[in-house]
Amino acid sequence: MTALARHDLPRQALGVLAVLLLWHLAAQAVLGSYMLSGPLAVSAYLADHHALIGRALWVTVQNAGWGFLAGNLAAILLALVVALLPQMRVIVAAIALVVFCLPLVATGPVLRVLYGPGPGPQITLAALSVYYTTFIPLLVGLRAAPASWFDLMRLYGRGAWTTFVQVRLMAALPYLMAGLQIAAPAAFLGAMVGEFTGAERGMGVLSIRAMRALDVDATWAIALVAATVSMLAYGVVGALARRLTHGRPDILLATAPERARGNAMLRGAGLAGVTLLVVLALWWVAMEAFDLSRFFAKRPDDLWRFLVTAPGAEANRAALWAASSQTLVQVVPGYLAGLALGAVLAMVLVLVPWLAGAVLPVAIALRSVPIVTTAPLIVLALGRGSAGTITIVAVMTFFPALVACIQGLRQAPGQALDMMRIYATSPLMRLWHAQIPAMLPAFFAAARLSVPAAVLAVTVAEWLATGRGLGALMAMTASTSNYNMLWAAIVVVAAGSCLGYALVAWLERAVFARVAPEQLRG
Amino acid sequence: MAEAMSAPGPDIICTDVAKTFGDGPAQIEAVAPLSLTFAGGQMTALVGPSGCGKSTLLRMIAGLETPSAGAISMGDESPEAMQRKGALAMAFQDASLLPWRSVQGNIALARKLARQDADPDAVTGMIARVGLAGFEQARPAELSGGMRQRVAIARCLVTQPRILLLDEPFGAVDELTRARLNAELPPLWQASGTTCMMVTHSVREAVALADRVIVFSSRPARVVGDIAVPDASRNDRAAQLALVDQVSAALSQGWDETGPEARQAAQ
Amino acid sequence: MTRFDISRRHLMQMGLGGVGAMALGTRGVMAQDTSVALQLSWLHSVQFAGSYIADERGFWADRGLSVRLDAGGPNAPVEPPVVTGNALVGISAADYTASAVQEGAPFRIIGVAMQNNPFAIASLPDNPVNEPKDMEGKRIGMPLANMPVLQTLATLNDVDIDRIEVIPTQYDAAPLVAGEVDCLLCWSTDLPIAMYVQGIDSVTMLMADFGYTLHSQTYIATEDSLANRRADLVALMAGEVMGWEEYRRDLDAATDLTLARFPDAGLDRPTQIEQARRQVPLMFSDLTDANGFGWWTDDTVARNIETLALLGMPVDAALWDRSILEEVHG
Repeated sequence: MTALARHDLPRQALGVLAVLLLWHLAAQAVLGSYMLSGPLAVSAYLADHHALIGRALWVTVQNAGWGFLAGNLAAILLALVVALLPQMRVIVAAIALVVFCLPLVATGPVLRVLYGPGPGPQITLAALSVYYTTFIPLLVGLRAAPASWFDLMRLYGRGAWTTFVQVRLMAALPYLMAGLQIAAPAAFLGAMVGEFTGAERGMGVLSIRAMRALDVDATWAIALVAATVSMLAYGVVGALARRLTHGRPDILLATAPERARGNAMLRGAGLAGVTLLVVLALWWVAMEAFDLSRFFAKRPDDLWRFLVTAPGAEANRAALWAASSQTLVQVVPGYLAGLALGAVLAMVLVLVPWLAGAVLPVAIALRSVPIVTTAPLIVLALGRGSAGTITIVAVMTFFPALVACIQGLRQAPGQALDMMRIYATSPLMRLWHAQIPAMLPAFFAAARLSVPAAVLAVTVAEWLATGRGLGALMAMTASTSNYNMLWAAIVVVAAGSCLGYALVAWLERAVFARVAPEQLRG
Repeated sequence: MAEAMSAPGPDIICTDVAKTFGDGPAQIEAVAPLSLTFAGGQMTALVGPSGCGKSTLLRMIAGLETPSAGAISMGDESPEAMQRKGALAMAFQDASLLPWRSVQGNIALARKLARQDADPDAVTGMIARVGLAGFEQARPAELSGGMRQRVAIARCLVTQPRILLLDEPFGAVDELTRARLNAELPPLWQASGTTCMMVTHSVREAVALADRVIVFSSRPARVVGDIAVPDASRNDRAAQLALVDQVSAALSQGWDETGPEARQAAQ
Repeated sequence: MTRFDISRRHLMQMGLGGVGAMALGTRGVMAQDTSVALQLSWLHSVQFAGSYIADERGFWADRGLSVRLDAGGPNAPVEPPVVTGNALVGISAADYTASAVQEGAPFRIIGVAMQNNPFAIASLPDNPVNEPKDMEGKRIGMPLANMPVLQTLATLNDVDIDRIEVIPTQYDAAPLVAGEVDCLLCWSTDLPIAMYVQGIDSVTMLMADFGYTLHSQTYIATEDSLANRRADLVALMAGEVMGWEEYRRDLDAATDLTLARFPDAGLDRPTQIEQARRQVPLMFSDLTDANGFGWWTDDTVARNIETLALLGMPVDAALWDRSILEEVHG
């Protein structure tokens, strides 16, 4: 990718210029509509307020940095535990997923109550945003080494510890770095969302202020700075990774699903059951251990009463269901559209390779733009209807899908492609018979990780812009002290995300069982 | 070198060794019960059709697989005991170098794994002996396939093993390189009295390097030929060709076109 | 309600934030002053200028009190810190307080900063909403969560709510300016000022003028604090009263103090001075002139209870506890 980027420098510069020009023209076209601020106005704002933005940025970057550190340390520790106790792997991964699926919109205020004033919630939300995308590749990396390396260790009568130190840790390093790279912009996003819970300064504070003040120049300027910093963070960690490691993992985050032993459904249900029990126990024990007030720290039995046995339970369920279905009808089309567009564009870029050089770096960069900054912009441009929200979700899934699919398409074995060229096969046929099958693991990996991302996007959009669905419900219930409903919404969001993730994993397994059984690990 | 003329390595004794993989209907018999003794200090080559189980036998001797039945001993010790003494070494078909370690680092690691002192001189000396002086700090990715195999052999030899196992070590390099490696590397261990076993696809290589060639049938591996290579044949082209013919004949005898599954079904 | 002691908080932070907790540092405790916290309901701005004045002029320090002002925000909890004791007093609103009480929070309202709720319907001059009836046939932008507010306004003014098209929006005026909606349900001290500062004329219909009576920016404290920490509550409210009276005396000074105190909050003077002006009539009235800042009467409480009932939040007059104010003003 570096080589590619270097070769395409003039083309990229041209691309940037074109984007700037389009931006300027678009801003001119909608002048006075308070939707879009042009490059000139944004530059002027930045020039006037560089000190303010600089101080805010420093605050947010610091919090994001601490969160990055804490979240990744947690991910590394968790992965090490799993590597040393492999029988724990499935359950630890499941619980890690549940925690990752907790909606930021709702965890924010809860964390604020726990921490009181200060950067605690910002740092914790940043940590929560990063640990999963580090944990999963690391888990793969710790197992990703040729069998003969392990043989070599055993040949000298060495046990698990030496193997771990000499082989696993080092083999996992590229995977760790790949995870860290995705984590860098995610930490910034987490810190910004954390600032919405009552911080005194930071980029999140400024962006809320700018939006409410109808200060379009400020909104776009802050978004631009946040996006640039996120992209820079992505780039810097990437450069560091290339210096530190001996190579990139072939496919980011593409963990082949396990081949189910026995009845897959039964096993899945068993895992879900055990996970549920462990999560309920953790939830309960944590709240009791810290003696958290039942006013806001609802226990599972509170929710049971609220949703099942209490007099108003039916109305509560109805309200929750109404919000959930509002969210569902926006998140599903957006998610599918984002994935499909990402995959299709990736294929187009493979067929028209000269375009890829210009598009891919832009796509990789845009992938790291924080959703809290994009959401208001898209809403400004597309309005508050379904179109805006669906677009936000689609954007959130589109970039990871595109990047993963392009990387996946490149995994097609060169010899198979050469073999096809010998028969003068058309590029479309090559795509269909060799490249798309090679793309599938990366595509599904992106599809799985995009589920929580899509849910995050839709809830943020609902909360900040449209005022409906689960996102708005969570924000509203937090302010009206309806903490039963808030926790119920947290459960629905987390469970829904996990269910979506499981559904994609199931689909993935079904597809591989048909087209590529060798991808399933025994 | 001092160790060059040390006492020959131990005999390797396989008694009724068998290996099956899996269980139930999916069970595969990789090695049928075998009893063989490989003389200490000798080089034995194992040849046979692909997938016949010869590599499995080598891996059992290395202690990397546990026999389903029977026992393997070296002198009076088990493969596992030999592992712990650092007395075993093995080269794999791909060099299996750790990509994050330099040439020197990879070779030094073997001494460390074998619980031997670091001895940097031994490491650099070994690098020079396999013809890689000047490449001490190179990473595996910067080396050619042949150079990587040289490193792999150096890694094996730097611990002065009593038993050296070679699993098609030159299988992945081109013919010319292979010929050079065959000429340059074997002298490094031949003088040391190490007991060597080598799995190879090349009958010519087997005859050229080994003191004894054992020919296996298709899976499950049975011995269909056990041919001694007299020292006198080393520089005798005609004798070499005759041995190659002899081994090839044994190979075709044990070759079963229809494969083991069909044979099992017919039974 | 148990308060968090230091060790438990510390433990919890270590558990949840790991390294993050270390960055928090420890909260300084003044040697002789009693340290308390006042939980604000929004980001720092001139909305809380009275409190900043009380702090800067030493109105609290004179009473042996050191008050930490905790910012709120779009996703910040206000009531829970008061429940848990992290904050002695919180700035809530009658409706939020009522729903918290419904959920079991042991709150009392001990002061009312805004006699009138700033809820308003904002529209543009060429398509104005001057009275509730005007909303019929129009599209209104508002968070769906505010439906009870709109319903109450409609009921109070005999407006057919089915003839209003509700379009969900959140925190900004862009939908109105862009013509996506005809009017916005918002705070008179918020989005209308944003439009004013951007040079957009707008029409603001204050809902309080049409029967929607609800105390806003109410000071809340727990029953436990009222019973056991009266001195602290009195000191805190006394400082607030003095601070807000100073505020009224010199809005410019109050605005400048706010801007100087929070240089990183992204505040601009035109917006802040306008907000400072517009919130004066909401905070000060004949009632407060006669009885002092924060005051209320049984009559205003009765009208609040009426509005709250329409909002589906039946409350008792005992929710309001004037004893602290009486000590302050008495």
